[in-house]
Amino acid sequence: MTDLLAQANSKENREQFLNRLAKQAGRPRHAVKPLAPVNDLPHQVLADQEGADLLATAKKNSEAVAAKVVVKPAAELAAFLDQYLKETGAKRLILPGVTAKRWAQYELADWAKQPAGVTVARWSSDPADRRQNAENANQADVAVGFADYLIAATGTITVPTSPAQGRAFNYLPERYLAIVPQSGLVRSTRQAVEKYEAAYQDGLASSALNFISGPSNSGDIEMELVVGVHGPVECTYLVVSDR
Amino acid sequence: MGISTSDKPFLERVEEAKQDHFMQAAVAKAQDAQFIKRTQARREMGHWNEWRDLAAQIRQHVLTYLPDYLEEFAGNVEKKGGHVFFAQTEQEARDFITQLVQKKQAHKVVKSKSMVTTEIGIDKALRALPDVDVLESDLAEFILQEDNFDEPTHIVFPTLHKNRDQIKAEFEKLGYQGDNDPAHLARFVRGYLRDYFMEADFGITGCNFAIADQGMINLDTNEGNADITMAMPKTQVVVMGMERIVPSMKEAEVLANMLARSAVGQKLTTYCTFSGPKAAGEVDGPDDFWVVVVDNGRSKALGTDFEPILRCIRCGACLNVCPIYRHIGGKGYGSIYPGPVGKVLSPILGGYDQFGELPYACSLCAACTETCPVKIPLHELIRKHRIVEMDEQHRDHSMTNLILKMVGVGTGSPALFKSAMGMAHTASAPFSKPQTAQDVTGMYEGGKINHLPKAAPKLVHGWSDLRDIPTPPKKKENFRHWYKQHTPVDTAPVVKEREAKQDD
Ligand code: SF4
Repeated sequence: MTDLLAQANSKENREQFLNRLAKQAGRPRHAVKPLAPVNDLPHQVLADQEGADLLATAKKNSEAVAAKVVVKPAAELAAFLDQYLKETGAKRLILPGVTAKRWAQYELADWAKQPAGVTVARWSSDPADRRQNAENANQADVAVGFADYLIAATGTITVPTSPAQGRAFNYLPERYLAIVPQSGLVRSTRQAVEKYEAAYQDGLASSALNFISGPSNSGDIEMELVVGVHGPVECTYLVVSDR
Repeated sequence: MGISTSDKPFLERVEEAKQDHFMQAAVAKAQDAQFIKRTQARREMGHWNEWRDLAAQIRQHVLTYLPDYLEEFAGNVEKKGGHVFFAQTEQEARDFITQLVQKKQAHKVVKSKSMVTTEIGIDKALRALPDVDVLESDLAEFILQEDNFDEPTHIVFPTLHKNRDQIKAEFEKLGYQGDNDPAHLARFVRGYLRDYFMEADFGITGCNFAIADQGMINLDTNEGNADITMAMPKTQVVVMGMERIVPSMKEAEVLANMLARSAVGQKLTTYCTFSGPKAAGEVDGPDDFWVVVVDNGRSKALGTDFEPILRCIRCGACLNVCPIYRHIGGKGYGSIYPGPVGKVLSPILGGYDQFGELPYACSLCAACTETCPVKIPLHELIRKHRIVEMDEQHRDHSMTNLILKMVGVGTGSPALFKSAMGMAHTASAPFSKPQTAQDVTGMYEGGKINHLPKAAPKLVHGWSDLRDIPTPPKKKENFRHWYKQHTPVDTAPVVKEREAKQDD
């Protein structure tokens, strides 16, 4: 058998394929014109809303996808999280491997040092800990992580993958709670996407942007909605009203 | 292999589907439930038709400049340390991935649902390798796999034809001991697959949209399995149909919204992820990221009347409104792409020899065209297939052609036509039955034909098998005769003019 792997990323493989397409289509290559959208609808989504109205819409749409929304000022986060861990009966908690400074932004530096009543694992940014991170995330009853934006129109939070908060962190734990600043409230997926495009321009190095709308679910068995399939079975957005 | 799901002839498949009453009830229920959800979600979005204009424009734009966007995408994937292979045929795609699994010495392959991976038949090829396990992680695909690779019924809800008891019975073989509650069944799969995920060393995903300017892919799912497939294994292969590309995340975002609303009536799928190879400093995700861009016959549509079918975003909405699909379900079509989209796509990808009958399984009601989020003129393309099959390829070798030619000669000559009309009643008399009390009043006064001998040509059977034909009237009672005897009245303008004069 010919070694096909060697053909990946090769000019011959690519050119032959693309030339064939151009020929079949009867259109020359390298003639691309930028897309001039026929309308501006993506920018008009919820354009008439802001502030409290927009937050109310975000809440409504988040709850419609079975996400729990809690709005608290930073000063009350620690107490809320303690309460949350107690109520869920969590024994194992996983936290992102961020610095104390990052926690301090939300007045959580002390809380994050040793949350009460749980065994804590922290996401390690040492590549050698890949396996350990995965095990920790898999065994965690709760993950408390950070999100950038809350999208009002769809009830979605956005979480970039980072060295401190990897992919498994967001998908393996039983319950998922994301801290999101209210200043990160945006109207639409378009707004969030434009912010990330700008961030990539400025050097953001995240390999995955996760737009998450509630807990994992499926309608595959007789179309009956089941919440909690492969990903988290419960999902909470903790919106920080003064950040 | 390929898109075919059955060796049986079309009519036999349809006959089988007609017997499957659970499937029919399930499809009807799904269509009705989805109608409500989909309509609500679209209404809520507002300006639905303008959104469709935008979505159609985006998809058509990338098709027009397809080689350029693919080139940009491939370049950006490479820049991120990934690899891109362009596969002209399903065989090439399959062989490439097989070689990669061998080279990586992978033992536990995990897949997340993707139509194109089914199309290239990768599961079977990998399973044939020694020491390689392959597991589908999407709940529905997992159920099909455990039921000895049962055929899917729907592109979004592949297990629509199965009930909870059948699924429970399949899971019991894997050690499940609970009841038939879908929540419990799903929870069992979560545990079963989680253990496998933890060991998986090779992930295969599809791709909803490839982002040309970022060299990333977008995946839209509800279960989270695709994201875990992109998190755990050190090697990831993305298999994408060559047409699933967009210029930037902005267009992907528009289409992801349209897709979720059209497919399942959600605003967005639970997980909408933009993903690429693991970046420096990150701990999980694919160290090795490969993209296989598959043509496999798609290019045959480029530059032809059929090109718009490549806009398809696989939302399944056209299946959910199709009256034919409602009756024969997905399996009736014998292709992994059923319903209206399948009637257009299957003959292109698989050829008329195998799928030439599908364009005829259509009433041309156009409900599909009206619902399609990317404005593919589906019913027109279905009709176009018929034109190609009949006028360009002369595929009908039955008596139909000859009969229609004779009909042409007969109706073209007044003398022949007249004598045919005169004989029609007498000639059809042996097959004619008198009308019964159940018949619609006035419909079959002269009798009806509801059964013809087997030997009669196909064309005539098409008229008589599913409906009753009124027996042709006797010569003295036919229209021409009646018309001759009839004293014409003046036309409306003449009458008006006369009345106006009388008024004066
Ligand atoms: S043809 Fe249109 S309606 Fe049918 S699956 Fe494709 S995008 Fe959806």
